[in-house]
Amino acid sequence: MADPHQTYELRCPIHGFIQINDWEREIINHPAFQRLRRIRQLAWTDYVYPGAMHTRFEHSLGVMHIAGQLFDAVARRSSEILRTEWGYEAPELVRDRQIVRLTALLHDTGHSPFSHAGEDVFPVNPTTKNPKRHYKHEAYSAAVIRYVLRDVIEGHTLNGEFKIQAEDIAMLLEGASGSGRRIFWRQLIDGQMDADRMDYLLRDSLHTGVDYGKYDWRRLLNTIQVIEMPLRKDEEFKPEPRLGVSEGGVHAAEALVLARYYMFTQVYFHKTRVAYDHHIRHALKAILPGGTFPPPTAEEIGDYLKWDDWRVLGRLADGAGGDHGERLCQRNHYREVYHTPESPREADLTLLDVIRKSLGNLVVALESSKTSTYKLEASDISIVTEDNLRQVRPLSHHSSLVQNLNRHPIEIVRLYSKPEDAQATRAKIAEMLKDTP
Amino acid sequence: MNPSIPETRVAILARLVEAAPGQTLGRTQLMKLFYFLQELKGVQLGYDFRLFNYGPFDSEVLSDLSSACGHETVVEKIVLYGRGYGYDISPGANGEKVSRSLAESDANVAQKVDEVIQEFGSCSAGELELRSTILFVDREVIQTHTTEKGSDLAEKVRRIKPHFSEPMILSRITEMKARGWLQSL
Repeated sequence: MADPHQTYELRCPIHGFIQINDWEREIINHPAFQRLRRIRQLAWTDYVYPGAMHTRFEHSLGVMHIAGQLFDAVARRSSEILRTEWGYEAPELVRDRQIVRLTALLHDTGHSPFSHAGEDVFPVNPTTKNPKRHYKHEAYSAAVIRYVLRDVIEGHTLNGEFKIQAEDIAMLLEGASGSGRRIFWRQLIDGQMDADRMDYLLRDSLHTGVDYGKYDWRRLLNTIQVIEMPLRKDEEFKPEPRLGVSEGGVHAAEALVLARYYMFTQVYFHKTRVAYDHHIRHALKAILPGGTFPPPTAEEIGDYLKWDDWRVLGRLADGAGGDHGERLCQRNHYREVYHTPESPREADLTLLDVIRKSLGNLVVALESSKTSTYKLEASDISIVTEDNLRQVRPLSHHSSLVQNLNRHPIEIVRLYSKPEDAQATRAKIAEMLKDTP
Repeated sequence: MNPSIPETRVAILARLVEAAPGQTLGRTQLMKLFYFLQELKGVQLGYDFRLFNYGPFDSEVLSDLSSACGHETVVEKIVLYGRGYGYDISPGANGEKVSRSLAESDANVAQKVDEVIQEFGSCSAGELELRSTILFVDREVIQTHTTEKGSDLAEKVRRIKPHFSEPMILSRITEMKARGWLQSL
C-alpha cells in the first residue's frame, strides 16, 4: 500500500511542477476525473488554431494549483482580518484550504462533451420556476461530487483529521449557504480573479499559440488580499469584505481584464469557432436520445458520464449527427457573411435587422456574443493603497481602459450562410450596403 | 437563442433606476433588487443567483448593466467617498424610452418592478445584502422540502454574515415572515 503522506508532482506546461498529495492523486485517478482527458477544453477550436487540443484534465489540475496558491497568499497577507472577521485560526484554514483545492480540482467534472458547446443540450432544470432555464455544468459537477466521488473523497486516510464530506465541496461549488463562513473563499472559484479564469486564459493562450491571454499572474499572487470595504456615508452597515489587490497589482489586474477581452474577440468568439459550436450543438441534439443529456440526478449521473468527446466522435463517424454532424466531419462549416461592430449602436442593430430580413432563408444562423458562455461582464477589482490610510478604489478608477470596456460592452452579432450560398449572400449584402455611409 | 430575454432585462433595469428614490441606484442595490424581482415577485428573468458572502449574485446582471450603459439606457459613475467607493447608476439619454417600452409591452412586470422599488428601494446596500441572504437561505430550505425554525434560519445567515448580530437578523426574519416573504418557517 502506498504511503498516504507521500506527495507527487505532475508536470504542467503553464505552472511547471504541480504538487499533489496522495488523497488528491486517488481522486485524480478516479474514472470520473480521468474522463476529463476526453473532454477538449475548447471543443472544435483546433480547426482554427491547430494547437488547441488541450483538455479539461490539465486545466483542472492547473485550477487546483492556482487556487491553492491564491489561498496561501490571502491567508498569509490577511491573517488578521480572517481572524477578526470570521474567527479563522490556523487549523481551520488548513482544512478550508483543502476544501478549496478539491473544489477547484473538481469544478469541471460535470462538463459535457466539447465543453460549453454541449451545454445548450442540457435538460431544463425542474427545480426552477423558469421553463427555459437549463441546468448548468456546475450542477453536473456537484452531482458527480455527491454521487460518484463521495467514497474517494471521504474515505482517504488523510481525511481522518479533516472529516471533509463530499457535500462540503459540492456546496462551495454551488454557492450554498451550508458553506457558512467558507463561502468567502468562493471568490477563488467564481469571481473576478478566480483560479478558473486565471488558468484558462494562460492555458488557452499557450495552446492556441496566441499571446493575448497572458498577464502577470504571479504579481496578482503577490498582491491579492482581503479588503475591508469602508462604510459608505449615510449607511448603517459596512459592506462585506472582498478579495482585491494592493496598488502594486493594478497593472497585473488591468492586464487580466484586457486578456479576457482579447481572448474573447480573438479566440472564444472567433467567427469560425462560433460556427463549429453551432454545428456541435445541433449534431448533439441529433445524436442524444430525446435530443438531450440525462439530468444530474443520483440515478442518471452515471449515464451522463458515459458521454465524452470520444463517444460523440464515434457517433459522428457513424453518420448519426445529421446535416450538422456531416458538416463537422467534412469541415464544411457555415460561413460568416456579416457581423456588426464589436459594440454596435442602435443604427448598427437596425441595419442588422434589415439585412437579416432581406436575406430570408439565406441566413441559417445568428450568433450573438451576448449569449456566449465567455461573454464579458462589467469587471472591477478593488484596489487598496499600501499606506496606513488603506484607501479602496475600483480598478476602473485607476484604468481608463477598463472603464471604457465596462461602458462599451462587446455585443457583436454574426450572421451565417451555408458555404454554397456564402458568396452570393455576401454580394447581396454588399449591394444593400453600397449607399450606406 | 432568445434575444428578447436580455432586452427585457435591460428594460427592467431602466425602470428600476427610473423608479428608484432620486433616480439613482448602486450596483449592490441593483443586484439585490433583481434578485427580489425574480425570487419574490416571480418574474422569470433567467438569472442564476449564487451565494457569496455579500449575498446572492449573478454576473449576468453586470453584463446587462454594461449593455444598458453601452446603449445609453443608464449612466454609471464611480463615486468616491472617504476611504471607499461606490457606483451611482442613473437614467441615460434613452432611459425613459426603454422604461416606457416595458410598461407598454408588459404592464404586469412593470407593476412588479414598481412594487419592488416601493418595498426595497430606500434600503441601503448592506440592508439589502442581509435581506437577500435571508431570502436565499429560505428558498434553499424550501428546495429540500423541509421547514425551519426562525432561530435556525438566523444561525445559518449569521454564519455567512457574522458581523450582523443575531437579534438584528431575527428582527429582519420576523418582519419578512410577517409580510409573507418567507416560506420555510
